[in-house]
Amino acid sequence: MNIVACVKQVPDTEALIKVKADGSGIEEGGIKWVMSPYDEFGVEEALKTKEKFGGEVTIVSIGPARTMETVRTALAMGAEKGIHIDDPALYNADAYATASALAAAIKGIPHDIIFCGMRAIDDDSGQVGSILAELLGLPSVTVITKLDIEGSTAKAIKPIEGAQLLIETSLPCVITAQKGLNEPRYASLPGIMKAKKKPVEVKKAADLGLTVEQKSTVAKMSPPPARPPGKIIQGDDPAAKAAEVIRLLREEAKVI
Amino acid sequence: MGTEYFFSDEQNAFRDMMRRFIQKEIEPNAEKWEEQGCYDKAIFKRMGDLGLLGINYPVEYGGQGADLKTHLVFWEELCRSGISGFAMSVMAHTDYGSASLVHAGSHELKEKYVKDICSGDKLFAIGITEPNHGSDVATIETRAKSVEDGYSISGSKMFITNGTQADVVNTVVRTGGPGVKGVSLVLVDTDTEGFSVGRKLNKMGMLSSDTAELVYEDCVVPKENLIGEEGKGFYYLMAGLERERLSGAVLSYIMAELALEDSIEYAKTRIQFGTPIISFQAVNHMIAEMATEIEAGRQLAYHTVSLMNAGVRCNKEASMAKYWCAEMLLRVVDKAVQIHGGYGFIREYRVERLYRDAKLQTIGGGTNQVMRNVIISEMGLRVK
Repeated sequence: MNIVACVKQVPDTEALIKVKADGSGIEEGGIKWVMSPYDEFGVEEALKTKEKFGGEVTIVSIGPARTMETVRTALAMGAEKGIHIDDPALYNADAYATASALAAAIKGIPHDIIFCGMRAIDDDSGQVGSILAELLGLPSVTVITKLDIEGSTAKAIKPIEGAQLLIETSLPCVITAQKGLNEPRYASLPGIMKAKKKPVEVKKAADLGLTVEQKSTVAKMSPPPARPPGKIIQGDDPAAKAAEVIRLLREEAKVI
Repeated sequence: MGTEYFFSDEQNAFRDMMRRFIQKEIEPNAEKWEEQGCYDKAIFKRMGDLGLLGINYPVEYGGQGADLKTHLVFWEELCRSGISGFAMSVMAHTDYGSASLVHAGSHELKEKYVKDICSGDKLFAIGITEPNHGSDVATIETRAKSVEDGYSISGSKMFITNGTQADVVNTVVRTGGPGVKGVSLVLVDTDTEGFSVGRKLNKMGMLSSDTAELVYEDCVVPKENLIGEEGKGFYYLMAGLERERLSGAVLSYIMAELALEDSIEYAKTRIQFGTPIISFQAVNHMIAEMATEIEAGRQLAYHTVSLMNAGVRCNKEASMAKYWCAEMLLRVVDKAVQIHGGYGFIREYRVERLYRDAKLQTIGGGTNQVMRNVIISEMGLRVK
């Protein structure tokens, strides 16, 4: 089976994010970059699918040179090869441009099933998998927590409020992974050592016959408002202090 | 950490993997393992599955064939778990107990045992020390008598890490006359008749590791279990000592680093006289000293690694690193507990454990006094 997993490199969940003064993006200095956690579920499912049915897993990712580390991580987990699309025109691309580039790369290789994370944890757009499916003319099942493949049918479980849906679709298709789908494996040491020798093609948009077109742009990025300092109520009389707390909760915080 | 420069991209990627594994699957066990006086043995199989137990052992025998710097990353991250007893137990398996076998064992013996070391199917221990013989290895008394179907071993071993749980003890025995030339190494499966665990020892620290007294009573093992040749055991042990001393240094500077990190965190949040105590010069100078000493210790260890990786003899540097880092660790944990005040004396705080664990570092794997002897000897200044 020819399996594709799309991954995005994002700041580590524990990284301290600072917005650039001009609001054009975030300060990248000192940030540790990792594979978006939902993409890890996608890679793990791709590897499990390969282990069950045979075939190979191709990793596709978009981003600057540092993105290669994330591709190598997926190769170290067990994928066979990678495509790294490194084009400045795509560095801060919107979901449409991103999906177009992924589609252009995936069109050129055999694909029976394509895995994406349900969303990337940096921009939280959650659209790339669906747009990618649309551009490739494939069905998609999003936000799934269980997948079974029988012949050319994929059966996926998608949790919704108070219930879960069992969705069937035909291969090839696009699957987007939700937490709970699996427990991603570590890149083992032998895997890390082998990953260096696995083939990764680096491509520009033009190599894929793609003209980058954005449907939207981020006009400005601003940090969330700073949390106001806490207030300590002074005084000796507990009853008076309690009364003051209630007054503030009612009149200032307006929570009661 | 700022040490990435010293390692390759693959080694740094391996560190990330190790750190995730340790945070997720090792650190949560800290209290349980300390409480029960031993790690859960099943963790070795898990580590074997991840390719962590034979990092620079040959691929042919199930190892990874990686270099010493990769192994250093493994040591550092293992020690960063803060469960120092467990870290020591793992090193007893991956290094102290098995290095001489990999170095000098026959192909058949390696085929039989090294694969199981790397996979975690068999847990190894090294049996050197005896109730009456520690640093003076040349005088050990445990006797291996040649008998028809192998060696019959009688004697006892003391302070053996992994003692209650090991499947195989690499046992230092006397096959010949007195002195170092009568010493040999024999692998003893712990299910062999005549082998028993005398008792599990209660310790001051390193509680997540089991330490035991072992008893051999006419314990008969096959001739093939001899490592290399008779009478060369002492030299086979020596061959692994540089590495063992280096790993001791690593455990020390990493423990010190953890004590420093905890101290910084505490000093930033502990308010006294209306201000975080880190703003007091008496406290922040202690932190500056701790950080400086840790850096010095680490660099001495890294220098030793560079020499070892280049194939340069470095017994002197490894011994310097081991003793200096151990004594540095004692100074650092003392300051760390001092900064924590009363809380540093309480079990819930990690520095309390580090303080208790630290002392073994000046004793285990060769005392600091023996390290000084080695240094003098390596400098050509030993007076006979």
